[in-house]
Amino acid sequence: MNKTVLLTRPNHDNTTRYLFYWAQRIVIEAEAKGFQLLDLKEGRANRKEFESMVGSKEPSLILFYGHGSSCKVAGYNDEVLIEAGDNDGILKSKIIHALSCKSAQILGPRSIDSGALTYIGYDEDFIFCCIPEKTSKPLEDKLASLFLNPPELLIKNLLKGNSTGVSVGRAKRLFMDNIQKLLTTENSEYDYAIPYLLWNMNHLKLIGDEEASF
Amino acid sequence: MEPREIDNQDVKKLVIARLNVMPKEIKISIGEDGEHTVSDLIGHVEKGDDIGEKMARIQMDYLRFLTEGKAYE
Repeated sequence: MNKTVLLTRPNHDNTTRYLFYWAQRIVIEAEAKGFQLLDLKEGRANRKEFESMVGSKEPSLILFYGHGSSCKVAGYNDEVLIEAGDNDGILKSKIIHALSCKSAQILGPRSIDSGALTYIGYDEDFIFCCIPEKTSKPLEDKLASLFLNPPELLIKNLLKGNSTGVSVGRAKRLFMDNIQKLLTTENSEYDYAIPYLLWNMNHLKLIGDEEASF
Repeated sequence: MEPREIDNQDVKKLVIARLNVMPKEIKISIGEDGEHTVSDLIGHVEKGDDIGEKMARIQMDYLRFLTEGKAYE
């Protein structure tokens, strides 16, 4: 398989700002492993550049960070990058991970129908809590890390060559570990986050081939 | 159409009570619905709108998770 990764990470509001910084850790990991990384960040996370890169570089792993809905995932300033029934055919033969809301409802299954290998995403809103004083340094936000570490672990597992099924299983396990840690720690500072962590864990979905690997 | 959790007044009170224990300064990012303060969310629950219904589903799923003994699997 072609070891090229394409990443989209806009940064135009507080939510995408957090995702943008977390994605930076994936950039470091992918580059350390020597993979070709197509980093469509900030204004480059637009449809024209996305489609051009997919067509010319043929990445086998596509990582979307950004807002989404049941049919689509967006880039910078919420420009639609990929939409079911429109350009989902360009995901053929690829593994996709979308840290976005709801896209596993319709876009995920449609991309598999169009020939994608595996679509990993959420079939409901991906929710996270954050501490306002940390918005200038999102990676230091311990509350947000409870939510963003599991998807990061998932992607790191994909980059290690683990199967999509194993990678998703490990991410769900980390969500559960975070929940159990909060439940069993006396006077836990962040125990109010548990229902939202559980929500994300339950709505993380794998559609397509569980054995596919990057 | 499935019945909405938020239409049950006992559920509504419970969800508001659960939200009230959250620190007021934190922000909650809910996808396309944007970022919210705890006070915003309580307002949505009181109104019984779609965001309020989502809050109710989240809290009720959590309570079922606890009562079904899945928390320590």
